[in-house]
Amino acid sequence: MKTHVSAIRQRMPSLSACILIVIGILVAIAAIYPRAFTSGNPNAIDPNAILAGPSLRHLLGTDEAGADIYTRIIYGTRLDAEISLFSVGIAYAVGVPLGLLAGWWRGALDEILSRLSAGILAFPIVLLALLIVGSFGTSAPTLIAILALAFLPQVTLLARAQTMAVCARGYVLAARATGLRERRIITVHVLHNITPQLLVLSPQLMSQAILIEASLSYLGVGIQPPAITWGSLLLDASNYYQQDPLYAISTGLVVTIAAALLLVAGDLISRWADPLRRR
Amino acid sequence: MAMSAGLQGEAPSDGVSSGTASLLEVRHLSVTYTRRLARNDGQTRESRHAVRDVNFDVPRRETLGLVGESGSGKTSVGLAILNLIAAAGSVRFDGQEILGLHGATMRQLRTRMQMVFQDPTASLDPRMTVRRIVRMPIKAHRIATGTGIDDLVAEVLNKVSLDTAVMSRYPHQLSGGQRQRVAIARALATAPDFIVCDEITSSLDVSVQAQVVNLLMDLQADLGLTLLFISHNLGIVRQVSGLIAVMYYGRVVELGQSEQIYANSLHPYTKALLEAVPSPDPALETRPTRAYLRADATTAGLHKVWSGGCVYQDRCPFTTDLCRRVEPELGASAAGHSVACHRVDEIRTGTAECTEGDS
Repeated sequence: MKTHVSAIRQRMPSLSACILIVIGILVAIAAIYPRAFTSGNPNAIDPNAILAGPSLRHLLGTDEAGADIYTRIIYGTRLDAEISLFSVGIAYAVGVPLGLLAGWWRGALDEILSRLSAGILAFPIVLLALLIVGSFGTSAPTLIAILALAFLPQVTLLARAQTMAVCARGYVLAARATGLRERRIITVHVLHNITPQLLVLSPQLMSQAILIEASLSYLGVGIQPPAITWGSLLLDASNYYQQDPLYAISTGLVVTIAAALLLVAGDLISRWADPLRRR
Repeated sequence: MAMSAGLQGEAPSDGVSSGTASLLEVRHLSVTYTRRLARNDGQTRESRHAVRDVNFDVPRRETLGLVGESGSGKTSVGLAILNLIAAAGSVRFDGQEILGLHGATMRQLRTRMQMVFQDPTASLDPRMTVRRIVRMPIKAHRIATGTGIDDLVAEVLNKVSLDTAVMSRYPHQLSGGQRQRVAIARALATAPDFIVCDEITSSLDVSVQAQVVNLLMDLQADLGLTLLFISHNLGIVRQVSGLIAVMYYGRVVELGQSEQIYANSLHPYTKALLEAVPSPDPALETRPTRAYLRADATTAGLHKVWSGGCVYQDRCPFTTDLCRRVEPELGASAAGHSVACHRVDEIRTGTAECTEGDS
């Protein structure tokens, strides 16, 4: 009975993980159904309250057109979540299999992939984004594609390096000795053992996605109005930081906190996924 | 039935294998490791022999102890026999040539030949429970299905004297001895005829070593296993093996029955090895009457590229010009006892003169 309780406790997430999970659920709700948090319309303009300070009507004040900043932040969640989730998701869907194969088979495939990855990594992401946006125009899918391309080498190289490390371990040789098929060894032993390390990177990349989106919006090549992202809010806010500091601070904090929470999430995930580090 | 160390210096006659004498026949086995060099003088690869022209047989239900120091090629021999690394020569298992086999044929054969590795912490996947670890070979070879799988897992764990309660544990929650038992259980899951045991006691606590060795010997008796027992621990090898092969620098330098090796070793290296075994009672420990290792001997010779002559020439106190020029073949000295040494007759009669300092 006692061992049963401890087994359950082992699998129970810690307090910080619980808090993060709650925040994650709230963010998901905000992204899927923003009305749960605000009754206002993000594009509703109040000409009598331009760049107004916080009030009961406008919790974080209003922007230069008199729209409610809090409402706009809530409505901006969806695009940011979509962009970060899809870009990282695509990078993983392509990068993990490539890295696994490169690390397992080595040889020419590995050589080519490593060189390609290094090439992409060497290219400044914002410059890359400017180039692509310049030729294809801005849209959420374009931005997602750019970010996925930028994250792909990181994911591929991480998967490759971790695969190579795992392949050198005794249990892979032992699995071959017992007569397991190569495919089974890769999926059961290798993939299973590199998952925590891969998972650590994903929230980091998502936070990067949010920050890059913000930078691109700031440069004016991000998502265009009337679509709302945190980055576009930050761009608007930066023009009025003297008249209304809270405007810039609140939007900036949202981006920073989101990125920071994602980093913490990455660490918690790795701890949870690793039986050796699990208490 | 030939119970002796079936050694042949030369290749066996090309005939159908009798299939009864020896379960495993190793002929001219060589393993070469090649590494790429990051140099620009044209030489891009460097290769080094880990094992060179090794020959031995392992009779059914017997144990061949493979001894030698680190780097002598013992593990490479074990891996090559199981076709886990590239090797040249011939390895016949139950009459079937193994080297060069791959795919489904080799996988099928792996049910009959298994391996237990040196360090169970490394050879057991840390993310798998004991149940899952032992299930892997059973499922891979479809040895049992449905509830039969767990029954078989419990059965093999039982064979290695592990409580079935360990099934839900992870390797890091077990003791070293328990982990090695799990590794043995995994090897037994496919009901093999032959198991390569690669230094299976060296990572264990001394008090546990004996338990694992006794377990292995019981299993051998019960299941009729044939073993290749690789170890540098002569005390344990003596306990386990009926036959012993001594390796030095990729070559087998002496091969014979256990009593022959321990009571009547002939190769200077074997003698040096035996003298290095500490006695449990220091009072009984006698100073060696003769030195079989040069006073200035180092292991440096192990790292240089072999350039002809006897592999032991740099450390042997009896080295002559002949030893430096011509490599001695492994030749029969008595029934079932062979030695690769030019001066074996002088060493046997004790008339070999030390040449130390001549060089």
